Amino acid sequence: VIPALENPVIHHVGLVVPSEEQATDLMQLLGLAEAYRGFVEQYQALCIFTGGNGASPLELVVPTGGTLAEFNGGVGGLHHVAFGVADLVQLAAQLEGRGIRLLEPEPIQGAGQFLCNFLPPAYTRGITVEFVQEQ
Amino acid sequence: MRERVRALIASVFDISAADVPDDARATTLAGWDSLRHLELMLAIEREFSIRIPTDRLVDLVSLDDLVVYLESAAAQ
Repeated sequence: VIPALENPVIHHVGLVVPSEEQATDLMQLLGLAEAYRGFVEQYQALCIFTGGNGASPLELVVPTGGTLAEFNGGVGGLHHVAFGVADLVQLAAQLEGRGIRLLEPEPIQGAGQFLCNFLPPAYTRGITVEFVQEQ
Repeated sequence: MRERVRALIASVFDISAADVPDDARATTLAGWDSLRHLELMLAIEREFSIRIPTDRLVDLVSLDDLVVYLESAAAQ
C-alpha cells in the first residue's frame, strides 16, 4: 500500500461534455447545481463543478481545444475519477518509488481551490485517475 | 516492422502514414497525449498479439522505441 493513498476518498468524478449548453442540460437532468467553475489553461478546458447541499461532486469538463476536445471521438463521456490526498508531492515521491510517474512533473492549479495531478491511464490500462490536494 | 508500426500510429492518430516521421515521439507528434498513448499501446498489443508489461507500456513513447521493443519481443 502506498501510504499517501491509504483509504482515499473520492473528490469528484470527471465527465467531458462538448459544450457548456450540454453541461447545463446534464446538470438540470440530474438535479445538480453548479458549485463553482474555473478555466484550466493547461488543458484548454472550462471546468464546472457540481455540489452543495450534500449533492455529489461532478466535474463537467468543457474543452475549448486541444486533445480533450477529441476525447471519445469528440462526444465526451466519463473521463476520470479523482481522489483527495493530503500531499501531492509526497504522493508523487512514493509512486516514483514504485516506478510510477504522474502525468505532470509538478502539481498544477485546478479549476477550484485545489492542486491536482494525474495517473496516466497506461498504468491502469484505461482508467484515468486524478489526485487532488485541497488548498 | 517499422512500416507496420508507422501505419498503426497513423491509424490511431487519424493521420496519413506520411505524416508520421521516423523520429515521431510523444513530445513532438501532435495529439500524442496520455489517452492517445494508451489507445496506441492497446492497438499495438492487438496487432502483434502480445501483452506489453505495464512498466514498458508507459515508456514506449516513440516510433523508434516501439520498433526496438517489438523486434526484441519477436526475437524471443
